[in-house]
Amino acid sequence: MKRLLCRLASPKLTLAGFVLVGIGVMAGAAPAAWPAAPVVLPLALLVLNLAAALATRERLRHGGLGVFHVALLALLLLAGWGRLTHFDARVEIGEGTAFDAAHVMSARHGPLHPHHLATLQFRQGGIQVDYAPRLRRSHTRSEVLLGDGTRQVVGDDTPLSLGGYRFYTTPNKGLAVALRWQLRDGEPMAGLLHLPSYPFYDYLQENTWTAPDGRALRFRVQPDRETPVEQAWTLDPRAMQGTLVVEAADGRHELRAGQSLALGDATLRYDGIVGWMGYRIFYDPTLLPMLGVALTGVLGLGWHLWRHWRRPQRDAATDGVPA
Amino acid sequence: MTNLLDAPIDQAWLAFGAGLVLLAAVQAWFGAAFAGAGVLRRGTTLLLDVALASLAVGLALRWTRIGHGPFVGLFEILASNLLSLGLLWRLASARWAVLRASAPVAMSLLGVLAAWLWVAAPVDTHLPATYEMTVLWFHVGLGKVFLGCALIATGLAGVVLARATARGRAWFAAMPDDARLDAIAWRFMLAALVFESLMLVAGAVWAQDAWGRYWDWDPLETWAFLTWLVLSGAVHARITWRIGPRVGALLIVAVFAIAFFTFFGVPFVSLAPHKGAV
Repeated sequence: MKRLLCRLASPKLTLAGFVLVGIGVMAGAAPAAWPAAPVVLPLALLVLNLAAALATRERLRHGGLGVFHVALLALLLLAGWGRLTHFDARVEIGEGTAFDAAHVMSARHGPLHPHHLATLQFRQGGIQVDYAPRLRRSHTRSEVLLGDGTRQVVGDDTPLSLGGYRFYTTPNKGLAVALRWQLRDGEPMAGLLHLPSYPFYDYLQENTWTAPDGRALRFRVQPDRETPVEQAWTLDPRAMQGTLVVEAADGRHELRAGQSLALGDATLRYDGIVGWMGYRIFYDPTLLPMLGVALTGVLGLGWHLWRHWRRPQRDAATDGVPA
Repeated sequence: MTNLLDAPIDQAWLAFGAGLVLLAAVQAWFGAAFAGAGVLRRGTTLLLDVALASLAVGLALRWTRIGHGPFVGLFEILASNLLSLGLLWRLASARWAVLRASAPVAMSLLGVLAAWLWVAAPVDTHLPATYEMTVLWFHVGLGKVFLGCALIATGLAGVVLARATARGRAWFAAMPDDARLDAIAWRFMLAALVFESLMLVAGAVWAQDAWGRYWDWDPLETWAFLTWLVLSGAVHARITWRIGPRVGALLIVAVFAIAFFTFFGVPFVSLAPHKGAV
């Protein structure tokens, strides 16, 4: 057993692990779906190598070097635990609507993720995004109304933190059309039709919707004001006005906010333009522990270096640089 | 750097500073070639001091004019690193006299940045909201100290490698023996490892706040990690195989080359640091 540990603790194995991790990263397997085997397997090898080295070599357990290596091992284990429990997804939420976990897209999660996203409650408020000339995005302010009635403005470096999940605003945001559909004797249905990201796709503000009666409808919004390109401006969807072009089987119709359109037995009402915000949802319970462990490890390495640096091997030829 | 007369005054200061760095590199080699010419060596120091002052003025004026620090474009990153690396080498060489004789190598490395600055397009940049964070200052500052430590070590490694030739031995005869230079250089490499690790930690904190993920393998993150890996591997290899000064010097140069590519090559290829995440 001890012989196996010693072999596993070999510094040559450490170097081999470094080379394999480097190859794995260079191979480009990591960016698409980390953790990927070409990176994870060598990292797992390095974890075993480091654990064995700590068990068999006393020098690695003492002083700053010991702190560094123990912290490095803890960091790798925490990163592994983080990947097992993480959650990463995207969601678009329209102004005035509540967060609905059913609308989450591109979700990736670890096998041990606790899945309590559906218990989160908040409602999207107003959205404002500042732009510098030449459409260079600046500050984002996204208001959210929490379940307890409080309001919070998130954006840029300030995420919404709820139940361990963090909601970060993204460059993906846009306009939505507020519509109301009512059959002659039925209850009105209200909803938002999200349009492509704005102003990135300002030339393509259209979408389709199939009405409850099976009617296929195409919508296009023509904002009254063109997207300012050469001047600073603030995107505030609630302040925007525009014409809604509706293309149905019977022809093309133009509506202003508040106007309605009769479509057979139903009425379609255009209530106006609002905005939607795209969020990145992130969950990883190891974030703070990893930060603490990483800082502790680097401080340990710094301590090790400092002790050697202060070693009294001063030499006139080196003008005091310890060697 | 064309049409200087029509360009904002900050570009003239930066061009002047870069030119002086190039001149200091040439002067440093003359100082080494004509051993005992203390006047030349002191001239190198003076040139570098004036160059650094000029770069500092240029960067301050540019900062005032465009409203943000040198964090985004290649031109301003080159200028900023020319100042910070020059300053770190200057401070270290003032503290440890042994480093002064490695000026020809260190100045030549700075000269590469200076020459690049001359040909880089001085485009005015826009600072994304995600760059307006305090932790970015730590991330960038720690990165500069890391590269500064690696530059100092590479200066010494260059001397060790130059002394493989008769001319190099003559030019750097006054410096301590290779084993001593090797030991000093690796102290700075270990310091580089500390500061690069801290840079990665600060970068991860920034990335988490800015983009909702602490690590996403974007080109700069990938190369920063590879640099850390190669540096750690070099430290381990030196201990494991007890390699000699010349091979050690080659390892240091290799680490510096990768770090240099990470700092300046990757942003050049992808046009902006952390492109796509802005």
